[in-house]
Amino acid sequence: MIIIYDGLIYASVLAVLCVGLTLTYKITSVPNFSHMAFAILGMYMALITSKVLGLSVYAALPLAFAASGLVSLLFYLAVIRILQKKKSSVISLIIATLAFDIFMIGVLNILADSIRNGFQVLSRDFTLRSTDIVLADGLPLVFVVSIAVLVGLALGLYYLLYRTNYGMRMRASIENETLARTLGIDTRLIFSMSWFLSGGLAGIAGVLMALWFQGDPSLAMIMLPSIFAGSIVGGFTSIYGAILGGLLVGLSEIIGTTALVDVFGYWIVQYRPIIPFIAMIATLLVLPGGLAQLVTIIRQRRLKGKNA
Amino acid sequence: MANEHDPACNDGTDCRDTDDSHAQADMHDHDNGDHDNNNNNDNDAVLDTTSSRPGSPAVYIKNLVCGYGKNRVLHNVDFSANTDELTAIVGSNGSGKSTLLKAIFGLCDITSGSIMARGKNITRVPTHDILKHGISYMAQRKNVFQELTLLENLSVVGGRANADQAMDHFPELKPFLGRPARTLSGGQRQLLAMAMMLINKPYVMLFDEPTAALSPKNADLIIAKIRKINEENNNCIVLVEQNVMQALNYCDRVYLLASGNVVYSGDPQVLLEDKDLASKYLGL
Repeated sequence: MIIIYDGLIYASVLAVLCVGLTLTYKITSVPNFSHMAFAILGMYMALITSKVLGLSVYAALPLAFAASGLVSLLFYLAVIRILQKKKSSVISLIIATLAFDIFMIGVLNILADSIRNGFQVLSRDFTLRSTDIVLADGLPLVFVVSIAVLVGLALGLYYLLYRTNYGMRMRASIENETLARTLGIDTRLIFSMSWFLSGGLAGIAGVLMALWFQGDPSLAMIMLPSIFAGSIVGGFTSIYGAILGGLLVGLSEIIGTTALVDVFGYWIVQYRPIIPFIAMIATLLVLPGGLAQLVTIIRQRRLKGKNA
Repeated sequence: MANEHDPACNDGTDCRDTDDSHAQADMHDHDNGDHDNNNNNDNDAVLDTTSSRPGSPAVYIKNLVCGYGKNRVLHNVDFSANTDELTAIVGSNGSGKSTLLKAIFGLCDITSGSIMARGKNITRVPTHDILKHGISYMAQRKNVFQELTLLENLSVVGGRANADQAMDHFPELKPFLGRPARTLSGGQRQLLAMAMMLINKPYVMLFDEPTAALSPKNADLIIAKIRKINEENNNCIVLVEQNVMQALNYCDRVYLLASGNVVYSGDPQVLLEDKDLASKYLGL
């Protein structure tokens, strides 16, 4: 049973993170290597809410959304937009996001130590699993909430993008920024909002992770291969690709590691990141456009079949 | 083009050789922009096409120097386009025709000079706010959102209600409203782009080579539409056109650009009769 919880909670959280990473990449063309740091900030918001303020961890969800969203927005406005205005290359942008990741790890370490020193709360490799509500048959609430968040996100983004005026303007700005601007769309606002949303979603993912797994600032680097692998498997341009890619990589990481432990013994856990790396390399070699490309190919074949 | 460009011209100020000097004089003869320009305080309502008197400058550009990065394309250009008139900008490739329109929309880097629209200085207004000043722009390529449906393309500019209204002027497009714009033909795409421009009832419409890459039949259709819009709305239309003969036939006023300078402005018939200019710049 535990492997199902492990697998699905991890996969859902990863999928939410992949959606955020894909969103900012698709909208502003920045591969954000500091994306995971926003999630760890969410984890610490969960810790503060639960252990310092004494509230339910779930109360941290809006708090983490706002905090991580704001940090993400500030990073975009203060760093990324200025670099993009100077027409910096993608490499410079990647280095800037990596630098911000290192900066954020430092800030999170300070935050962790302050929580420990100020409130005598375990703040490294902590988990809030014991504070979670257990439903009937030992079913943890976080399991239900993680999946609900992912499904809600998928439906919510569909509604936003295809059923609202704002989403229409978003899609227009993604396709052709200059044209959007000449037609009176304030693309700066749309790009800023996408960074806020992406960071906020990472914050929520962080809260959910803290309820089942161990939280630590070092995860901002450790989990980075997984969210990039999920996004790349999904195609890095498609929101729904990101969801499927995240689920796929997340599940294969958990199930794969368990299977490898059975065969080789516990030492192999150290090599867990090899699974997302293999997924990433295989995708880039075989199907560079990821699952999104696969869908396009299948559609075209079907069209040809109809015409023939 | 760079190889046609006199190296001494780089600072943009003392660029005009003797050939250009009579054109400059000509330009001032036809340019009645200066005194009208200071008299526009009553034009506060932004999206109102009626408050400009016919014949008064809707767009007025003075001493414009602009380009892309360090590369200057226009050198000290003066330009004005009047309400109720169709102004054509002609010139060879690389003469800066498109850049002049882009400058109005803040799509290139302006070094110095000013751009006024109905008495308001819009030189450094952000691109997305230019439309609020009643000016719309149609790019030469990529002027519709390919992945959005026709209806979405129209709604993105002016909301659903205005989209339906715009369709009344373009019955040709009605059957395709639910289709993605990438499925349209070249001519249909230009019509859609024009419909998108018209939604906000602009009093200045800037067209960057609207007939490029169209069949002659479609090109005629587009030009006829543009002239009809001009007649119905009495607005100011500025058109960059490669097909010089065609442009000179229907425009009210023409600007001839060469290497980023205005070498002639005024009556298109006078330009045609000026053998010097016509042979040197138009290949006539």
